[in-house]
This record gives sequence, structure tokens and C-alpha cells, in this order.
Amino acid sequence: MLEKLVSWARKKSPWILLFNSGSCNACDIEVIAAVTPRFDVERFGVLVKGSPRHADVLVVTGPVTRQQASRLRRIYDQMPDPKYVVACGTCASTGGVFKGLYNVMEGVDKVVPVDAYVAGCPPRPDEIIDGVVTLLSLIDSSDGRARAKAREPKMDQKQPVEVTA
Amino acid sequence: MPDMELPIGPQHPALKEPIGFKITVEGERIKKLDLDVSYNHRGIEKAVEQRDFNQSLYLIERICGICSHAHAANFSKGVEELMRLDVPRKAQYLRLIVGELERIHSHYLWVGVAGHEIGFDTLFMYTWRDREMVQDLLELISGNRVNYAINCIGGARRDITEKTIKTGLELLKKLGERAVYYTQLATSEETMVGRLSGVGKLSYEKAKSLGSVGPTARGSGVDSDLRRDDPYLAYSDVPFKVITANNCDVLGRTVVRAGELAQSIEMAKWALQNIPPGEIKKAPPRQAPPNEAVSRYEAPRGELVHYMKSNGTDKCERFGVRTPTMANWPSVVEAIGGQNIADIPIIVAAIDPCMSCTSRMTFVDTDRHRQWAWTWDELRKYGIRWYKENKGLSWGD
Amino acid sequence: MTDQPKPPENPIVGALKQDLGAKAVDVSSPRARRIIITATPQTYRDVIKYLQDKQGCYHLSVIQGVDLRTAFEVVYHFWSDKNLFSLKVPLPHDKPEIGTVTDIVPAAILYEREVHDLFGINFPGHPDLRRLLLNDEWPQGEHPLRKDWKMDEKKFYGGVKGIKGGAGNA
Repeated sequence: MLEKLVSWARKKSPWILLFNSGSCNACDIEVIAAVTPRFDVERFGVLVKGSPRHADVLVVTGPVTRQQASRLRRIYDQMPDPKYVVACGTCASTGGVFKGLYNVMEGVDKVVPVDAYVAGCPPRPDEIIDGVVTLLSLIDSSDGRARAKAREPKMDQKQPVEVTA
Repeated sequence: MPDMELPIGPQHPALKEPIGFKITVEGERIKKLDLDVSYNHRGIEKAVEQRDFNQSLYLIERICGICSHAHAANFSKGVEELMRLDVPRKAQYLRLIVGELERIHSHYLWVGVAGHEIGFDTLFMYTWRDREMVQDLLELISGNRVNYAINCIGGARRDITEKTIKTGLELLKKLGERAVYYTQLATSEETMVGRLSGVGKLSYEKAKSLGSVGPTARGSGVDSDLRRDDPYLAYSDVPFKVITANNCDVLGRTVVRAGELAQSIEMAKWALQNIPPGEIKKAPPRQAPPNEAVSRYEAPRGELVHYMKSNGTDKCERFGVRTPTMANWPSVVEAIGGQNIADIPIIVAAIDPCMSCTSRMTFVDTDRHRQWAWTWDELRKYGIRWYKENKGLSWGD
Repeated sequence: MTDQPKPPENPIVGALKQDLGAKAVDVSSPRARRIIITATPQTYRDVIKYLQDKQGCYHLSVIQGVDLRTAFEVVYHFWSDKNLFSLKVPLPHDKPEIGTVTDIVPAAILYEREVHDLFGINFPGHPDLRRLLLNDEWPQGEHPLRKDWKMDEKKFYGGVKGIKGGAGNA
């Protein structure tokens, strides 16, 4: 019974943390545009917060640059459970136009597990809201939620790992 | 004194690319600022050497999402210069119209962000609501709200219809009326002037010698605008004024941007009314002869420089970008010296960085022998609180 | 492809050739408002001072590095409200080094750091020649914009260990 209440509360008011991992800013300004009067995502109870400890949902934009990759992992680890990750934009999903460049990790799911992908370059604010709403329906069925399989990077290793493939 | 750096996660809503700051303070005053801009380096210059011109165009457009047309148009006209290709006049006008609309949307974005930085969230909501009108027009012209891809090597990708021109003129008329309100707000509203005036001083000589560009330089009285001095596209046809201000502080930069907003609306209207007929595109050759070009563009933030060399193949031999924000960083370091901590957000925001948020920011107080770390959001709230308590300036919330 | 007639030579080229004499190896003007001057590592400072004093160049647009495979080249772009002067200085490929200009051109401070970071060109006399763009864990001595640079599969270039990132050969 209490679980149902908690689940309803989480579904009705997810707090977002926006993390820019080296993007061109187009996705970021579309996420911010979702907060402004034309699209007004605050009526869904979504608030954009400033600290990982207050947030339920981590929205990541940008192909993860090397400098940001370890910080992204650290932010993810600082967020309290249950936490969800939305990869916003084509770059965050697969690397986008930046695939093959020497300083990018090519996709958020290489660094943290992702729950929802929103495609687009950049995705319109309506599409981003659609992504968030899809995520909310996942929260409802939180037992059988499908989660992307993430590789667990070993942050404390002193030697670089032999890279295969 | 050892500097401790703590990574504390991100930052505030209206954010753009991340930077790291390390600030040495003495009490309230800042002694030294050190910046770390490696968070956004992706390796684009190397990738352009391995992609041909058309593929590179898609990549270059995404160097920055806010001024994406500036990069794409600058690259296209640079490659056309390498190929010694004449582009039809109508295509130049289409590029100019989208370029000015981009300047309008970027300046609206900036006014909103500046308002947010000083605690004036209502202004943020108003300007971003009006900005949606510009996005609608851009979508009508090009098909996308951001990353318009109206350029192709040899001209423009899409033509404009009479109906779009008519809708555009109506939208611009409405925008023009709203812009008058924002200009008045920026220049005479008491609280805004109190927050912005005297802050982030950058003298005329320093602005010139440190290489600052765009509204940052024009807010300190430097009379330089590439659209007038090094004309490109169809700017030699369009009548416009170059706005400068003599305040040499953040208020000056705000006044310049508000003035440019009004000017750009007029320029876009003029260009829509005077589009010449004709082709929009000229088929380019596959390869460019060995040549080199320096292509410059007045982006919303200042002078954008693309340096490119070709070698007879369909790829660039060397491609170098210098964004206007990189040129303005030394002036931030200069403008922030001796200022209060409370003023950091607005001074940094005043150069309109195409990177604004810090993922970590550490302070070292040499006076009281303490050090601490803040996120941008905490710094912003500190600034708003400081001004409310010490100067009585706030928006009542 | 259009065959445009060569534009008439910019009248300033003649004056430059006369004033600079042996200091400039070559002066040319590919189009209106663009002048290219080639100098040597011994004479480039004199050319810069001349451009600042006599040609009204108050603005340094950018300093670019170029890898020509057999040599390096550092290109300084100066703007004078009338013309853009691109000053090229070729450097030997095995030990590329050129004195800093931050004492006469304060705006050069970040551009020299960028060229040093990405090409490995040294600027003796620069007050603070640290890394600018590459991340903290990028190995020393690897300069990605050199033509002969390839990503080494065994090394760690920053990011998260155990995960392979992009390789720079798109």
C-alpha cells in the first residue's frame, strides 16, 4: 500500500538533473524550452534541480567527451536510488555526428545504464516531454522495467585495461 | 597554498557547455581566475580532415547549437572561396535572413539567461516565450527549430515561398514591438541597472588589446562589426547601424545586444521584402583546387574565424576554428579582477559564452585561509542574496 | 567551375614588399581584404611590430598551427579594419619552436596554448604554457592534430577505463 503511494509520488513529480557531457547545446536549449511557457513541463510536476542528490532523473545530452565521462559516472553514483537516466538526442544515444572522433566516448550507455532514449538532432521539446512521459510509465511497472545493459567501468583500476574489439 | 578541487555535480537550468573555474579570493574580492575549458573538446578539426566537404558540413553545423547557422554558413562560403565558385544572389539573401533570425533568437536567449542569473526569472520566461515566435519562423523557412541546415556548398538547400515571406513579416512586426519593451527594460529599469552598472569593467584599451570581439568589445566602445567592415553574403546591400556603447561594463554589453536585436529585426524584414529572384544553388565541383581561405562571420557572439586549406582532393587539408567565446575569455579574466564574488555569474554570462556552466568551481580564500567549492547554482543564489542584503536590489521573491 | 579573371593586385602589396624588404619572404593577396605574408623565425617579430605600428593592426584574430608533413607552420591572423594579414612562419618538423608574442600581443595568450596542446609546438617565454583543450589524463607527448598521429590502442586517453572511445578515423 505504501509502495503504491510512493510510486505515485515519484510518477507525479520527477525531478530532473540536466547534465551536459560536451554537447553542442542544441539539446540543452530544447530541454530548457520545455520549461518555458509554450511547452511548460512544470505542469507535469517536473522540476529542474541543481544537485544530483535531489534528482530522480538524469537527463544527459552530448556525446560523452573523455573529460566528462568520469564525472558523469560520479554524478550517477551520487544520485540516490531509484534513479533513471534519459539519453537526450542522437549524440547521447549513439554518438551522432561525433562518432569516431578521438575525444568522445560515443554514447551515454557506454558509461551509465540508460532507461530511455530520445532521438532527434535536437529532439523537439514535445518529443522530450514524450520521452519523459514514457519514462514515467516505466516507473509504474518498476518490477519488470527493461533497462539497458551497461558495462560496469572499473574506476579504481590503476593500470589501463587491455582494450579488445 | 594547495588548492583542493571537489567535483560537485552540475549546475543550473539555463546551461550550456561545462567549464571549470578556480578562483582565488581575498574576503569578498576576487584576486585571480583560472579556467579549464577542456570539457567540451571533441576533436572536430581532426575529423574534418577525414570527411569530404558535404559530410563535414553536417559536423560543423553542430559545433554549436545556438549559432549553428553561423558555423555552417561560414564553412560553406569558405569552401566556395576555395573552389572559386560564384553563389547566386538569392542564396546569399536566404543565408542572410536565417543568419539574422539566428541573431535574434540568440540575443533573446541571452536576455533570458542574464535575467535568470540576476534573479529576474520573469524576464527569462517572457523572453523565451517570445523567442518561440522566432523558432516558428525558422521552422517554416528551414524545417527545423534548431540546426536549420539551410546551407549547402553552392547555395541554399530550400527555397522560400510567398506565404512564408508574408507570415515572416507579420511575426517580425510583432517581435519588433516586444523588442522595444526589452530595450527599455535593459536600459532604464532601476533594479536591472543597479545590478548591471559598474560591474565587470573592461576599458576600451583592454578590450582592443585582449582581442575581444562582438558585443563584449562593442559594449566598451570598440567600433568594429564584420558585417560592415569585412562584408560577406549580402550585407553590403542591407542598410543597418552598428551599435556601440561607452559604458565599458555589463550594462554596456546589455544595451548593445538589445540594440542589435532591434536592428536584426529590421534587417530581416528588409531582406524578406527585397529577395531577388533566381536560382538558389549552383552545383559545386567535387574537389577543390589547392588553395587556402580565411572565412570570417559576425556570429551573435562575435567574430568567428574558419581557416581552411584544400589540396586538390574532396577533403580539407587543414581546418581550424576559432569561436568568439575563446577570444573573449581573456577579457573575462580581466573584467573579473577586483570584483565581488556576487558578480561572477553576470560577468561570465555577459560575454554570452557558448559555454556557461561549471561542473566544478573552487574558491581559495587567502585572507581567511579557507577553501570551499560551489556549483554554479549556489553561486548564482549567493549573488542574488548578496545584492538583496547589501544593496536592497531584488525582484521581491 | 567558373573561370574568374584574376582580381587586380591589391595596391597595398607593393607598399608592403617595399617596406618589409628582406624580412618578408613573400607577400601576396588572394582576394580583396586578404594579404598573406611569409616570414622567418628570425624576422616575424619585426613584421608583427610593423603591422601593429604602420598598418593599424590592433586585433589578433587567431594563431593557427598547420602540419605540412615536411615542416610545421604557425599562422598569425591580424585585422586592421581594412585588411586581414595572415603572417606565416615555417618551422622545422623535428623541433618546432617559436618565441612567444604575448609581450607585444596580449591576446595571444590562449591561442599559443591551444597550438602547443594540439601540435606540440613550443613557445618559449609564454607565461603559462599548460594544456588547454585536452583532458587531464591525455598522455603527454601525444599531439592529435599532427598528420602522423594515430590513436594507440593500448594507451588510456582519458574517460572511463575499460571502455573504448572514438578512434579519430571516421
